[in-house]
Amino acid sequence: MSMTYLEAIREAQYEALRTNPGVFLYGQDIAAFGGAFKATKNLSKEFPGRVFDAPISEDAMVGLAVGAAIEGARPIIEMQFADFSTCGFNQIVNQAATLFWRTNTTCPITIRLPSGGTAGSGPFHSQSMESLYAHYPGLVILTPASVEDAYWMLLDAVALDDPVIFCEHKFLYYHLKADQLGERTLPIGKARIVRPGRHATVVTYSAMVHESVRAAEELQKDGYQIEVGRSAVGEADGHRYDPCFGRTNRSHFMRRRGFPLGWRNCRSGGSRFRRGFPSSRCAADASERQRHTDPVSPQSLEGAPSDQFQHR
Amino acid sequence: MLQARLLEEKLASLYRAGGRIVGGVYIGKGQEAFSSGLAVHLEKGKDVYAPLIRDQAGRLVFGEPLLDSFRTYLGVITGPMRGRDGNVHRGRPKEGMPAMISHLGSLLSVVNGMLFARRLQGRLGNSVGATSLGEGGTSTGAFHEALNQAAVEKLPVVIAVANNQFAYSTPNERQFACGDLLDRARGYGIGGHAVDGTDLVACVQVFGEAVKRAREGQGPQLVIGSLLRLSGHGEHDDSSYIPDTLRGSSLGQDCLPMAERSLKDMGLISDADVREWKEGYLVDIDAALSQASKEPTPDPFRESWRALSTTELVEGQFEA
Repeated sequence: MSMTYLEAIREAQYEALRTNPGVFLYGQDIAAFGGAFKATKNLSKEFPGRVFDAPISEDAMVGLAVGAAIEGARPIIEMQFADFSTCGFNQIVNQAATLFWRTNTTCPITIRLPSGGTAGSGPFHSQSMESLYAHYPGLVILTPASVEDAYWMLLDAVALDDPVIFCEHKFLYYHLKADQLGERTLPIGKARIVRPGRHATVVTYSAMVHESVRAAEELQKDGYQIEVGRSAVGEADGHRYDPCFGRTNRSHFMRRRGFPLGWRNCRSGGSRFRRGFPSSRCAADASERQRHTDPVSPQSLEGAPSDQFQHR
Repeated sequence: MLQARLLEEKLASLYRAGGRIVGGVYIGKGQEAFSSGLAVHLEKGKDVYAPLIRDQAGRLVFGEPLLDSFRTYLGVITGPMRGRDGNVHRGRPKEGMPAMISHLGSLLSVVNGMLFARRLQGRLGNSVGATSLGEGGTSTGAFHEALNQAAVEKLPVVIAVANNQFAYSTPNERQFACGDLLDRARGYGIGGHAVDGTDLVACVQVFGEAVKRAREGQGPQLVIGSLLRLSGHGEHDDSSYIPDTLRGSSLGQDCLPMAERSLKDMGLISDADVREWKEGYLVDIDAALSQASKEPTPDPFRESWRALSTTELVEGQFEA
């Protein structure tokens, strides 16, 4: 058996529909057509009456999900592209994210965001929105990096009683394959070391895990042993620091830049992320260094050479 | 509507006196007939009712306890919002009464979702959902998306639009260009009804028909009530932008004395009834205020103010 990242997302939705009668799917072109990327292929046939085409109304799609969640359902909303979630932004950050805090009513909704840039996709089909949503208390951001992640994290998302922004990377959809999905070994929110090393740690998520491993392999030729850690979850305070990232005492956070809008997200995403780090182990990524004053350390990082990443 | 008027007069006087009310006071003076005309057809425990800011009357008719109002206005933790969000934003979603957010038009799709889920779960039966909005709220994208969604899904939802001529201070000619807001119903392929929002008897009749059609499976029903807000947007607002000519027109009639006259003419109530109700309501209002005044306000140091319900994902509780 060989399964792609995209097929794992379909399989997880199949499993969620099969095991939980409260689950339904709602999104544009996801029923008979099977979704723009075919992430819901055949599900409307396999689960009649539980997979629905939605009008092109992201605001109303998310609002409907919140109402359904109040009534005990566990909706999965597919945004056709992560970029279009901005049309549902108000319902996500104001209605869904605040519901539990305001009313003590849980809001178990999953919003799938096909994220990230691929060649030729342009500024409106390439955005990475995770760091934007990570600014809002009340949302959980999940960013699967592997086929196994895609499967287990999506099932985790559906099982969670809080609204989840599930950022799946389009770049990984087709070419990332696994022979098996394995067992669920990591509880939600736990990070893992993808590649061990002892000189420095690169902490990243989603597609950049694979880029970072490749970079680490390049550096291996020069004698540097770079550890790569896969972060998994972000919420109001960004991707969280996991103690396992501190092993080398030199940590560096990496994320993929999107198109122009993503740039701004990128900067703030970095700052949110770093808040989760103990300041002594914190380092900014390249885009951060060029643009920002570190909220932890008062010094500007402008032009800081890479060997001074470890600052206090 | 009499109870709502007396309650809101009390709230407004508390606001003017200062020091007691947390946040603003937004009352529904002049809109009580329209608000209660809808709610009287709803059944708590069965139907969904998502009131907006001028629905104190509808809330009481639907069965919201008087105490919920004072507890929220005084910001005490015993209220439905536990002192976290104020006043007209209160609700009890699990009891079929979602809590509005300030972003107008965004509540309708939530009501749609509640009905949609019930239908999926096979327990919709002949229950309906109902929500309110002002004419200004009909300009939002959220409203149009949700109205279209309700129509596509043929959901049993009744949308009450109180056309009170001004959205805060913005007059209708700066709000929409269609001849009649009822055109919106035709545009979305749903039922439409117009009513004199100052006339209680007419409101009860028209909403009765709209709710009946929704219960029978005829899909969404839009009810447009023409009236005038007889107060400011909030108690901070003197509403000087409303011209006297409009105040003196039929739109500016006060629905409360009108209702009293109509019901007396129909022989349904007497002066003694009204006197007795008024005395009883005032006693209840004072008792509720007195009780809520003694109750504690939030203490962030002792209470959990988590935004996530999943404890293990909350910052500070994840350290190894």
